[in-house]
Amino acid sequence: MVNLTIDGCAVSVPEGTTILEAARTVNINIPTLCHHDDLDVKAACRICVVEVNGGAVLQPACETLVAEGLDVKTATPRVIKYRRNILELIFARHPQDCLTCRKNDLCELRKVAERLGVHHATFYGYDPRPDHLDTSSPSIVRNPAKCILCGRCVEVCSNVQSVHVLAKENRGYYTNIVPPYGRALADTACVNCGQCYQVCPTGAITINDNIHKIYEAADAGKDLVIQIAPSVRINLAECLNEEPGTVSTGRLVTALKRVGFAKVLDADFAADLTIMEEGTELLSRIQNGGVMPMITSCCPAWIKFCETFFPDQLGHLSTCKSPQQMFGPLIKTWCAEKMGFDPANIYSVSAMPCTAKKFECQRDEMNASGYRDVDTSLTVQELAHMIQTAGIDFAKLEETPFDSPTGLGSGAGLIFGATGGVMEAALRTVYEVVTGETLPRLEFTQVRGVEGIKEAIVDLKGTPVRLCIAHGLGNARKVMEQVRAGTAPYDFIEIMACPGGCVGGGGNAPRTWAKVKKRLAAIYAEEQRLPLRKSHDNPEVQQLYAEFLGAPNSEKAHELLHTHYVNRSDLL
Amino acid sequence: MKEQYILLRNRNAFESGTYHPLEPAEYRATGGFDGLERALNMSADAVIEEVRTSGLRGRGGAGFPTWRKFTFCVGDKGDGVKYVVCNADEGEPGTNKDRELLTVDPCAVFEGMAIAAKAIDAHFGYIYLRAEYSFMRDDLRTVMERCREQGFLGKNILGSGFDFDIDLRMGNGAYVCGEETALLESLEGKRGEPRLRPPYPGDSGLFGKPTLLNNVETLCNLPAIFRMGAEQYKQIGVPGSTGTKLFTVSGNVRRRGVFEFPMGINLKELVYDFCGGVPEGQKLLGVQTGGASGAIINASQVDISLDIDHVSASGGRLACGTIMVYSDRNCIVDILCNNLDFFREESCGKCTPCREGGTQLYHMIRRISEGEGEMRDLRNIEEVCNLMCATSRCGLGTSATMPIMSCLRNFRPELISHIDGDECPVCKLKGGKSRG
Repeated sequence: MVNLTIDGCAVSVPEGTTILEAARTVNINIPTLCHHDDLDVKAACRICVVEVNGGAVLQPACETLVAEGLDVKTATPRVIKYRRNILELIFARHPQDCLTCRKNDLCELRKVAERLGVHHATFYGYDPRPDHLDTSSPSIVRNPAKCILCGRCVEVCSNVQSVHVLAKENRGYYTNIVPPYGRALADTACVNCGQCYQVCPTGAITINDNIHKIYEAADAGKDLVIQIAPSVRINLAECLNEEPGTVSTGRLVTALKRVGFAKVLDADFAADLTIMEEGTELLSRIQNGGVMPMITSCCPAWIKFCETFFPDQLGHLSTCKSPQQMFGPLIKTWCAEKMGFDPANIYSVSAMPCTAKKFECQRDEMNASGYRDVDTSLTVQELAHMIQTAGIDFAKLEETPFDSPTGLGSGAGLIFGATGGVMEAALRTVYEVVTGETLPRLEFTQVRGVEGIKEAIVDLKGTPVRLCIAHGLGNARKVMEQVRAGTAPYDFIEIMACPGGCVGGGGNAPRTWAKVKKRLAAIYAEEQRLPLRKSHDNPEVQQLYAEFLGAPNSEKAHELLHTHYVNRSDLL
Repeated sequence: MKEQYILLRNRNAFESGTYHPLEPAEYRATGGFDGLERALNMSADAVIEEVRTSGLRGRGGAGFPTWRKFTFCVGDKGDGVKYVVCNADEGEPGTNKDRELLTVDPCAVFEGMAIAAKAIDAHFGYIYLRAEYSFMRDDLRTVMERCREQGFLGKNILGSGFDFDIDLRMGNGAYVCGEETALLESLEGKRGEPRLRPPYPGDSGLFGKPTLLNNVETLCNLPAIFRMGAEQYKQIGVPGSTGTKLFTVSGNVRRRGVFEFPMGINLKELVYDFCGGVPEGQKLLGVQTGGASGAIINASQVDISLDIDHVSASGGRLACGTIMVYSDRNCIVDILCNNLDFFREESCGKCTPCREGGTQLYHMIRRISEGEGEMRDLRNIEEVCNLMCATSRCGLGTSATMPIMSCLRNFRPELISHIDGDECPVCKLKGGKSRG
């Protein structure tokens, strides 16, 4: 342990702790901007500077490690003066339209300014950064004028996701964070995962907001139908100022009915359906010598990543659509009939933890119902905004069940929201189909957890099935390089683009691993509470097959629920 | 006052056309590789001890004792791979000494690198060449290949059993890549931004291996030290700053160019006696030592000794040997404006104080230079400079404030008159214009 003094408090912390972390142990929160708990130390913004042993040169608390006997002062008049001065320098080049900024009260720059009491306009001449608003992407809006060059998005895009779209260009005064070759974001290899939005402290990266489309559809007299992704019920309350991991399934249905949705459906149902199709496909590939290993296809950011960086490996992808896109055509066919709606008049919305779903629902081929299968996708953040706009006090809402049919989902469908969840859900079904026996224990805990690449072997009555689960595209790339080299020792691979899976998705409240872990715990706890925990036991899924689709992987199922992929390597 | 050619000893022959730098054999015939031969017969410890005795200090900027830098890379570290990197990213405005050395005696640079490699037990080195010097690239490669063929580089150098080879990499024009860790980033193919330290390059440098980085001129001193012996070498110059120094003299002065003198010569004598002073009809305004990031001293302050410690005390930096002479045909505010525009562009852009502080310094000085300044700008300039010095991420943020901070001390009347006084005799702008 290392002993030091911070603002007069004696502190004892392990070696290797930073001053920032050490200060937190004595309830001193040093302001930060470029620092993010999940990311590398950058020491770029210099807001967190502190006095060490009275030295003339201030040290950044985020970078400086504790040492025996240090005397640290975190809030002397001099330190505060310099912090304010740094903020003023940032303000001199930052648009001051906070009132209408998309980031608004989520803006970390605004919070730091408030904390430091910078209440006057900067005394420097206002010289705003170049404003090249990029709204080309269906998922992400970039406003470089608001960038403070903290470098978080660059790290996430390059080091975590290995997509390498966002990078710094030029230097000094002219430094900018841009996609390559001056291209618009939509014309790059950007996979729309939204992890850059998750970490951006200002309004420089925001979600492409589709809320107005919902109001327009309502005005036009459309029948609004919304499907709720598994992790939305875990993550929505957090966007409305409740604790991370607060489950709000019933309240969310009530709120959305009040907002004006005629039907609120549970995408856990579609997840169960995905398991039926994907499980059947896996068995068929194993038995008929198909392309192995098979890789899941639920995650649209992963799909675009594979289409862009590994177009030669598309044969490994399951042909199953994601739950959102399976649900889409069903809503405008079978469900429409059940609900008594004219499919032409349905405005089909999905509520997702995900920014890439906005891209997915716009893909050319997603019109199996004869209409656009899913008209618009909203993120959890947008959903929360709609609820706020409607003046709904979410905390006090009563609970309402999902509309039926297709309002019933199993626990297996729910855990799609966690890394390893699709794998576990598939195992529950595949095991029972292959062995004809009931699982003695439902939980496959070996596929859970936040390790970047997980491996397991499951014994299906004498047939060992080798599994791999990767989350975060940097990890996916490692696995895919093995697949390409033909050395991947797996039969079935689950890949999710966002670290932690969908509960860590780009459309949620800004992430840290600490929050994502709480969301993961909540999803597994909630799953245990559900009466149904296996996809093939879902009576509504059984009804759908009996009345409409026939059997898993039938011709009808292929027409509506399966898809094909395209080579996007020209984006590189 | 006379030049003393140690590093440039083949310069006269080269300029008269009788010496061919691209022929290693000719370099060998003038005593080239003698120093390396001696070093190869010594133990690594003895090599470092010899450098220590010589008193050699870095010629890139900071004047750090060279032998100490060697010791940071010594010892068993990791898998034993180490690198020697030659910093030939001569980006300091008004500096051409490395260009001269690489032109007159490229083999001396290789020899210096090989000696350094022997000291730290490295077997591979890189030369990081400034983008603007790309015209030298082919010649350097040619002479490198000839050295390899003739046994001065590559396997079993001079039959000693010691292996050392060199490759050349080009910079891309960023000033900040002269900073050692930014240079390493660039050398690795990344964006040139300074690294966080620790780890220091001596522990984890290029590709994560222990790395020794030295300036071209520093490395060129090593052959001389080992050829003549440290004891004799340290007789040159003054205590604390031994050896000779290359000076690049430019600006409003009659004789301009790269000159080699013993350390400790007098700046006033250099400017007036050797270089003939400012042109007829002009008066000396000031001298900037150390390039764009050096202090600007006024005409009354030029009577100083050009050794590392004296120049540092004046706020300048000797080591890169840049002497920029300004006459009264120049306006000091204009000089500063130009200088700050340079830093505004050449900050790497990573940390806020350097990037944005430098920008605002430029804006404030530009306002003053255009006759729009106010007295409070001087106070604000000082505030921003203090901020940059106290909070910047690397030395560049501090360096960028040196010229303007020194002008606030040494040229305060000129600055005030540009704000508040009569018409500036040089730029014909009336001070205090903004007040009507």
